[in-house]
Amino acid sequence: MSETRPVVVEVHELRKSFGAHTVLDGVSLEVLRGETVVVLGGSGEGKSVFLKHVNGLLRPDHGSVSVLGCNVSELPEDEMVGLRRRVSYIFQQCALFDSLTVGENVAFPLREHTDLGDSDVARHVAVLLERVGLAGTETLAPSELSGGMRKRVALARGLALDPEVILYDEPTAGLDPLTGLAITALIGEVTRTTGATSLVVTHDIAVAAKLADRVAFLSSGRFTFTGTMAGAARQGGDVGRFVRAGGVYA
Amino acid sequence: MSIFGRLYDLTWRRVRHLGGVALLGRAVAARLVTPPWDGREIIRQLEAMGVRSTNLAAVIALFTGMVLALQTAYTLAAFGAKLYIGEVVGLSLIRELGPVLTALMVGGRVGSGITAELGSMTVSEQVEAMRSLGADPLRKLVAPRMLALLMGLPLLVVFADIAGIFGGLLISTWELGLTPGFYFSHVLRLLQFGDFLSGIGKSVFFAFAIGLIASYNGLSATGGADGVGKATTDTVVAVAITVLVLDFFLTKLFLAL
Ligand SMILES: Nc1ncnc2c1ncn2[C@@H]1O[C@H](COP(=O)(O)OP(=O)(O)OP(=O)(O)O)[C@@H](O)[C@H]1O
Ligand SMILES: [Mg+2]
Repeated sequence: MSETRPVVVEVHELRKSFGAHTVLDGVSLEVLRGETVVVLGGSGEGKSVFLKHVNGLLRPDHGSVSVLGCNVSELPEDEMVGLRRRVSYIFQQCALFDSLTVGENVAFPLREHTDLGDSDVARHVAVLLERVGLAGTETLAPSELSGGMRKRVALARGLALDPEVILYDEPTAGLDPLTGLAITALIGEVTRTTGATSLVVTHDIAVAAKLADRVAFLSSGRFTFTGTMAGAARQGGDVGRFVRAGGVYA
Repeated sequence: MSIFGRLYDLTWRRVRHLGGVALLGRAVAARLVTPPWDGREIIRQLEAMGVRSTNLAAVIALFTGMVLALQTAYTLAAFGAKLYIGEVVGLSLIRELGPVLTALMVGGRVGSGITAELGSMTVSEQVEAMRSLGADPLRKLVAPRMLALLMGLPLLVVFADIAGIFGGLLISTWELGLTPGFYFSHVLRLLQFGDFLSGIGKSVFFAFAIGLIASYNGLSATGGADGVGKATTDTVVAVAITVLVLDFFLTKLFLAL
């Protein structure tokens, strides 16, 4: 891993509280171009809150977040559009628009940000769905899909604009182990074929083991460990216990 | 917490609430007056909320007109009120009851629908997904619903006015033995175009208030299905109170004009 790669995501001393409840208490992280960093942490530790700051969906109380050279924490909402075209967020609950079909969901970013005509959009959508293994599902409603299929559609929608950065929030949560593995493999393949910079938030050790160039362990509002998975497994304390509990590094 | 602490907390929450509604109102208003407008979505919303509310609005107004006619005839019989049923029914419906009852009904039905829809989108991260995809939820979701309300409610009020006056006619002719011609001439005798305008004018303000409250509650829903349920109930209550309070001030305002 050469150190000359540019920093794509830079989070500095990020703090966030909701009322009296401090969720993030000064976290810092840098992600290099093309790198996959996995943020590990228990339920309710603030992993989703962290990731939402990277996409500008939440505003920090203190600290700064910069993505692809844009200061996300200070950009007004309407000036964030240009950045958001280049960054995709795959939501924990998939967040498919349930009033739209699968095809319309995947077409949404294309219609919003490109001047493609109907037939071009349809062709793009077909290619995207095929890429995630769901060819021909355009006319289904999101409510007709299984959890794994929903993830795939969310991924197809997120890939529509060829993002440079992809943020994954719990990509395998709520899936059976086999489906989880398939989704993990798909993410790995996306990373290889697009070269996108990825930030993956999860409590699934198997996901981290497969995808992570580096991991950061979130606990009590701080990153208590940053380094490789193997390094994390050798750690004492919470980090080591958490990583070894996954069974991959027994 | 002490009772004063709780009172302070409650008051502060209310004030923040009002502030949030006001900010949303400004942001939505800005999107209502600037293009692009999504015509297809507006028509879809108009169809969903307006067309399906028509029957309900008509039935409510019809029976209100009938009750008004009956009450006027019997309770004010000593003053010879029977002859003035047309005036009473016409004026009170067009100035007051048509817009208010329709707003209460539409507010309950359509407002709670908007809150439920936006609320479930909010708690399932669909609203954040929209922002994350570089689209503006206020323009995509709130503006079309608001415009549909602003167009639909006044139309429903006109419809309700007609149904209510027809209700008065039924009672006047069947129960009280007046001729339709007599009834209608009295409906129109004191009625001025300004009365009609004041009723329709009110309904425009009601529509904005309903849309705003419903959208705010939907977009600020938290938790899961129970959070959406709570937000929906809040909307029904808040809309009812707001319509009645707003009606008082609008009545005073329009009378002063
Ligand atoms: N908008 C919000 N308002 C208030 N509290 C919030 C909000 N968003 C998150 N929280 C709180 O912040 C904490 C962290 O939430 P977050 O969703 O980031 O956890 P997580 O690490 O993603 O957990 P999970 O594994 O369950 O997804 C939780 O206690 C949650 O209640
Ligand atoms: Mg989460």
